[in-house]
Amino acid sequence: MLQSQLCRETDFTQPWFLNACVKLNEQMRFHRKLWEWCYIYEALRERGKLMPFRRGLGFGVGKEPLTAAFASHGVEVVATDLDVARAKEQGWVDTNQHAVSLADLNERGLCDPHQFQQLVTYESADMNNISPSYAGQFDFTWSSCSFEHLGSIEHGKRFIVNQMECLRPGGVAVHTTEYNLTSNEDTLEAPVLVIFRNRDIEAMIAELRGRGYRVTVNYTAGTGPFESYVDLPPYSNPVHLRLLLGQYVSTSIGLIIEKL
Amino acid sequence: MNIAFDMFFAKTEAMKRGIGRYSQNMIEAILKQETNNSYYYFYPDVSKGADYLKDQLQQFLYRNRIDVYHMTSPFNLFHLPASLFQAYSDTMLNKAWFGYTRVAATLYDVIPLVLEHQYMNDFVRPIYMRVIEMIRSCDIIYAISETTKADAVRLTGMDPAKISVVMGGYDPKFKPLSPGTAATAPLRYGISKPYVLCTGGDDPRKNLARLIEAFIIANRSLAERYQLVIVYNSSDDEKRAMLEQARLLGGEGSIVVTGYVPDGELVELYGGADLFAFPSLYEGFGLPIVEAMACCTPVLTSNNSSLAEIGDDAVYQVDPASRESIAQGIVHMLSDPQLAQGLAAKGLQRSCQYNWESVALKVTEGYEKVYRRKIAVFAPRHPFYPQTYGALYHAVPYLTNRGEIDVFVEERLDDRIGEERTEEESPIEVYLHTEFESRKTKYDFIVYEIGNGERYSFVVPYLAEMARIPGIVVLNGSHLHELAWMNTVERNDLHGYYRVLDKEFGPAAPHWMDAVLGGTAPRSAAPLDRYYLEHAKSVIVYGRQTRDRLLQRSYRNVIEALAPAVALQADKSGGRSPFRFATVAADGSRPPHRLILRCLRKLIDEGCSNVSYTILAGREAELPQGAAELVSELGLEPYVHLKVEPQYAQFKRLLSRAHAVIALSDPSADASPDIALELIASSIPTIVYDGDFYRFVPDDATAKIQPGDDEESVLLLTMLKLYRDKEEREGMSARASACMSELHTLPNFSEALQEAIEQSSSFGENPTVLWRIQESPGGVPQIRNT
Repeated sequence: MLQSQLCRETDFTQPWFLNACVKLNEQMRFHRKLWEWCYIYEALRERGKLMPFRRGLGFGVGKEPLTAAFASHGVEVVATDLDVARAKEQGWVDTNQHAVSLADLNERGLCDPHQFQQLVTYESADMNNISPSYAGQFDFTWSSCSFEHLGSIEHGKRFIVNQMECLRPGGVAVHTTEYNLTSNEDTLEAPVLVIFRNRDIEAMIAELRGRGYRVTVNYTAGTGPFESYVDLPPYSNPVHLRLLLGQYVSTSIGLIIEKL
Repeated sequence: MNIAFDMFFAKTEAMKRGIGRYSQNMIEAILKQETNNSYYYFYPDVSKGADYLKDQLQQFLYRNRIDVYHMTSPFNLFHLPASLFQAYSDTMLNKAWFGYTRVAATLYDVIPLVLEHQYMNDFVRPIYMRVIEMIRSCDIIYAISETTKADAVRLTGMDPAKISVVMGGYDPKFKPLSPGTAATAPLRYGISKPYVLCTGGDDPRKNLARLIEAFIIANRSLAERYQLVIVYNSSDDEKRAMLEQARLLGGEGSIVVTGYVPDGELVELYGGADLFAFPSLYEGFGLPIVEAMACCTPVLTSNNSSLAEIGDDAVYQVDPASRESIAQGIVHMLSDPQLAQGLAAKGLQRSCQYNWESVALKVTEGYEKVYRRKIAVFAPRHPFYPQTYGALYHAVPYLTNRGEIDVFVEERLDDRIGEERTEEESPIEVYLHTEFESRKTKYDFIVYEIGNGERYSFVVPYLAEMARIPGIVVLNGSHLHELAWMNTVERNDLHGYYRVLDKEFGPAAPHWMDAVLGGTAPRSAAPLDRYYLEHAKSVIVYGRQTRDRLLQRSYRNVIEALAPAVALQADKSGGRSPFRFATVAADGSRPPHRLILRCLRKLIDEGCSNVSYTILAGREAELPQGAAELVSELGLEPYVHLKVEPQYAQFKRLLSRAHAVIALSDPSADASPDIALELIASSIPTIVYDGDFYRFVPDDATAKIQPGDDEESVLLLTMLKLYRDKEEREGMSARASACMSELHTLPNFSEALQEAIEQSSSFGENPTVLWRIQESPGGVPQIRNT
């Protein structure tokens, strides 16, 4: 089974990765965003969460294909994102990354539209202030590249810990974010984006474990040809496993946290 | 296979009841199986009327190309509140709405028909019977017990052959308490004595009133040592009524009514009970007794319905209609610990057979049984005669048991499958290939036949469909350069030719293009298949060598089959003199005409002058250049006859009257063996080059010669032998006929096709050709073939 890990080039040729590409109707490409989606999909699939009678909660879903893919498996999904006014303020609407209606979440037609309508609800949600009504209601939660945008490293940590409350016993949370490969001392911490250092992730995991949650993590960074390439702004290179953010080389990290 | 589950139950009260639990467990167990099926979930909206429901269903079936639709709770309307049940009673699914989609239904019981006086009234009856009609029309019905099946057959006239008994399963959390575990649940529910457990319900069918009565009688003879614990989500009124009944019967304090109990605690209650009593009047599947058996609790239950079927000799059976019978049973079980322990042990063993994996397996086997793929078959014409279709076309009727078949052809010929059938009766539709585009969304599988011949050219543009719709290719030869050549270079499409080369050779494509077009490399040096086969789920080939060649070149899912041979049905009567040799030049077979003519000359020179030799050519181009001059040069004009594009009847007559046929085709041409096999199957003594295609034809059933230096003398000797030895010819004919009718038959071939189709489903997303990802010089990853 997958465990918490960095985005690795070797994953891209694994059967689970190719299978997820097919399910998400995505062309295989060496892009970390695709890795995040496939990683989340597979982590949940192999844990038996993508089935009817399961409930999933997505944070900052934007227009990503995961919501529709999960609903196509019969999962009841509550997909959440910032409300439109705040999303506009932060530029997500202008870059076409924010869903404004339920139909936007199934624009690739991954799920039968009627089935989608029956299973998916779309709600505005503030990841810094998770609604207590979600507590204990879900078999899984997920987010892709979202919790680094919550204002600070501490906000990100708080989100990861707090969102665990939404899970039922036996539930699992799968979240991806930015990971600083350059430094474990300095990092980027701006209101719109932070890059988590190893020590930030470790602190997060320590707190999660302290609360009785299970996390296993592997920080191995690959050295393959594509992951040795660092993409630069405006990030238009087809190879995009690592990128330069400010002065830091960053990649994606996926966290899988289980509530026993 | 695309399978849809009807999820109406998940939105109604049924979800909290047995049907909901059954459906949920069944669906989850099916999804956990390793199959390549895709699953969809349909939520019928009955609130907008039948027309809307029909439209909603048909859009869903069409969009998702559903093969099997499973009605998990066909009596779903009966789970609605009374007001909604009345309002929506006209809105139910109709089998006619499903078209080609196969429909399955789970049948839990027919209790309203078994206990009619209790459940039926004038309003309910017609609605109930409409659902029964709908179930009866389904392609497969899953009964949850033999009892349900027997009652459905007896009371509704359902076809027993359509009913598959799948039984049910229990949750693995129901198991014996670990030794030393102190069960705390009994204390929590106020149980103060050893107890008899019963899980009930508000339905009179559960027979709780009689059980209370019987227990109080039994408990008296057991010195009031026991309590009866009744578990279900009872209302306060129901609880009061049960306690009041016990008080009136003098059993005050001996009854405990728990109300709802979570499963975890229920396991403890089972484990702590001295006896589980379940004297229901009827059950479609008695899950409570299975759960009790799984907890190693001795069981007393009814001698009727599925309870007797499931419990068999692992339970104590009583007559549920008799208070005395139940009371005696309770006394017997509680006063004979050896009996109780023996039944508990047997019950534990018996419970193992009721598991959801087994249910899921039987259900999916049922899907497979009724599933009919929608298959498109691209069938080229006959290799020789243009007014007839080839063998693939004739194999199609054997596939109709498992699929709806549409055949796509280059042009419509007067060669209908099954000549005695009327158009209406034929299960096969024949279309011009140009109609495929407008029909292709209907198909979930495609079968193609290709090879090196003009007759395959119309198939080529449709091979790309395999990227979207799974397909298999019947391959005549493993070296399709000639096909590529005639479809690109001969049509002035050099760019297309480059694309084919690029798929095969990648960066070396320009080199091969220059070499072949420049004449420095023969086309035979550059095998080209990948362009045509890259998306095929499997490839069927006729020879082991062809198979091995493909496997060596990184292909997989290559299936070897025996080429089918359809014997010529022709009148053999007529003159038998002179001795007739014939040969067929068709489909790029390039027979060695010069060699044959030289042998013919020598044969005549040997004194065998009473011969004739007929060359049957599919088209003018099949004749070798200078053939007429050679005939003249060898003085063979009186003996040799050329027939170009003969009519089919003439073709059949000429061949069937031949005493021997020389079916030698240029080994390097990689031509299909169709015609030679057809001749052998027609019991005509046939001379062939020894090769892979004929390895199952015994050496004495045909005349096999080796290509090589001495082939002229060998061919001459063979011709002489056939000319002189009538007995040899007749023996050869008989042996050929026997072999071909056993091996190279259409049913055998269609079986291989069927196997390839079935296997292709299990190959999943695996391509036929292995690929790997390479870094291109520019640093951008590209996918290249190995």
